[in-house]
Amino acid sequence: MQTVLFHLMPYPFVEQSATGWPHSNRDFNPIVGHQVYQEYLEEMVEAEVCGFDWVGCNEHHFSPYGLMANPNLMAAVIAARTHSIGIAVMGNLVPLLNPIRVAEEYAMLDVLSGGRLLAGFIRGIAHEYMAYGVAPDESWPRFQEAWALIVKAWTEPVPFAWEGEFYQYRAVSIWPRPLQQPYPPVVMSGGSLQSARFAAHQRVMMGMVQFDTLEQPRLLIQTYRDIAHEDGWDPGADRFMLGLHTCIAETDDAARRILEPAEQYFYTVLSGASRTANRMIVEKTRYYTDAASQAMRVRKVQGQVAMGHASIGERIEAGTVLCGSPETVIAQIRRIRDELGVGCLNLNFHIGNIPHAVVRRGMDLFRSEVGPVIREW
Amino acid sequence: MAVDFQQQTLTVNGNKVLYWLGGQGPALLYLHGAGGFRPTPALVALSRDYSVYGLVAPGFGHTALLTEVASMPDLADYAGAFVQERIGAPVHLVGHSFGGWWAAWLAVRQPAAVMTLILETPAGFRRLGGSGLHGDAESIQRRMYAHPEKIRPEFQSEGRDERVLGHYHGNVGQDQALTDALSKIAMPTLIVLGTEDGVIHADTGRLLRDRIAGAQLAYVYDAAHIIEVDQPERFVRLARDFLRYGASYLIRWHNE
Repeated sequence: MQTVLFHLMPYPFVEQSATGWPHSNRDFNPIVGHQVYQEYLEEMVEAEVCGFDWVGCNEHHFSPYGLMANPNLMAAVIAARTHSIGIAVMGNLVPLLNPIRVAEEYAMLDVLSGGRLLAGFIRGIAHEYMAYGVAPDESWPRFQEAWALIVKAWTEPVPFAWEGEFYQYRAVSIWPRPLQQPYPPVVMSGGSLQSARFAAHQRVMMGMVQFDTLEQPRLLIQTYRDIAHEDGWDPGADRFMLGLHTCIAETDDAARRILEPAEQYFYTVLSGASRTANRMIVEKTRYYTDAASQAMRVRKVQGQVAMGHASIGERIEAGTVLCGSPETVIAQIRRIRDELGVGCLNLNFHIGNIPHAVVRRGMDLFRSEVGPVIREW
Repeated sequence: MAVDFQQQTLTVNGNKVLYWLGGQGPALLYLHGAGGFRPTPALVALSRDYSVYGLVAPGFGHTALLTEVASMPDLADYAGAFVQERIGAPVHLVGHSFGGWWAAWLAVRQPAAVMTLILETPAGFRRLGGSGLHGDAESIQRRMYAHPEKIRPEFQSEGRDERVLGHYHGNVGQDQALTDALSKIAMPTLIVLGTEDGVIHADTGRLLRDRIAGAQLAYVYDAAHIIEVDQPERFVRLARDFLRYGASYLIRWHNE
């Protein structure tokens, strides 16, 4: 079993949820923010000695939900402060960005880190499209074209022009090229059935996150497997990455006391405004181009609302968080492995406003007691 | 989209030469692929700015093969004679697939006849081997078209005639003599490939770009071998800018 220490870099000092989207940045204190960045980076750098395979960054906009508008900046800092851990950027929201810039920055990170990049190709949460002024209807075709263009930019040894629907360039020749050949390993979001099908066709890792039951990732994994078999290959467990909120403490009770209020902060304060915007886009646009994917996403948004109201015990029972003593968390991970067949866990330890020292203690317990066991699976 | 190409004939060196003509403007000679001449949406669009001459190779378009035109260099000379006789001035030259092979020979043998060269998914440079099209109709169509739903009856190929093709090039995958002569091409040259082409590999584009000084390579996204049908607007954007601006087509002159 492989693991990622994933970080959202949430802003921990918002007092109440915004009434509309986006969240006013009046609530952001830059002096406090400076300290928050230092603590978060320390946690991410420490992932290396705690035995994680990767440390994970990600991109969000206009929200206290996450302070990484450009995850590549954080990945560069981490690359400079670490030596061997993989750097998972999960990921750049490619339909919102200049794909050539994405190709260049990922290649820079790969060379800078000595070939440690796991390159994430993500469409993002639907409301990000409001932030960057991109039509949600264009999300899916932009994603597909940007993916093809970035792979071409990474692999084409001679300068080339690209004439596409959304992107036109007359001479592309990125410097540097990636260190990993033919290009870095890739993870794509499995947030919908169409995404799962696409990831399977491309034979890349599929990441899944924030579900209120294990049924949804089970369906996505089965969809991926079905497509892979149609295409004539058999995906191993390492193709599937499941994201989970994680809290490890000395006892089950202690872990629950830490995680429950942090989850409340996460689901009600940090996520409130963006969830409203997200639902608007999912329901009113063709962000999802097929009905089944759209229905799944609506169900997921509803599930996130439900999670905000669910007790920590209900979430543990559903298998959608890891919470407890090291022994308990090992058992919870075993259940997920057995039920879903995933080979990689994307573990988010810094949920909402959990204090830095508490997160570090949980990481130490992972290092000494959980990691050594599950690494052998 | 109106198809306003007219079939015409001309006698050159005692042979009756068949060609299609559409549009007005500077002369653009178009050399067709192995399926013969078709007034594709891309050619119709180009005919708004150019006089597009679609020369038909002997053996295509229900014409007879000529014994004295029995190789790709011969066919290039046949086209060169047509340019001299019918147009009387250097032309913009566009060749598709088999026609790209043909056009490259024309550019090598009669460079003074060619102002600008566009090689569109050109055959004849398959270093990785393979020639012709094999397999069932469905698999062939998948290699030829990313969007077969865009095919209209007037764009339908007249069908490959392996006997005619073999007459010219012996069905070889790579024309070594032409490959060796590519460095003689000095006019502005654009190589256009489709990202989904199942016939001509990207390796062809790299070879041509490396061998032809100053040549540009372009990929049309979501197009297979028949780019002019799969993505005519994208092909025309490239071709029109390259024909208009030459090497400075690298500059983005306008936002469409």
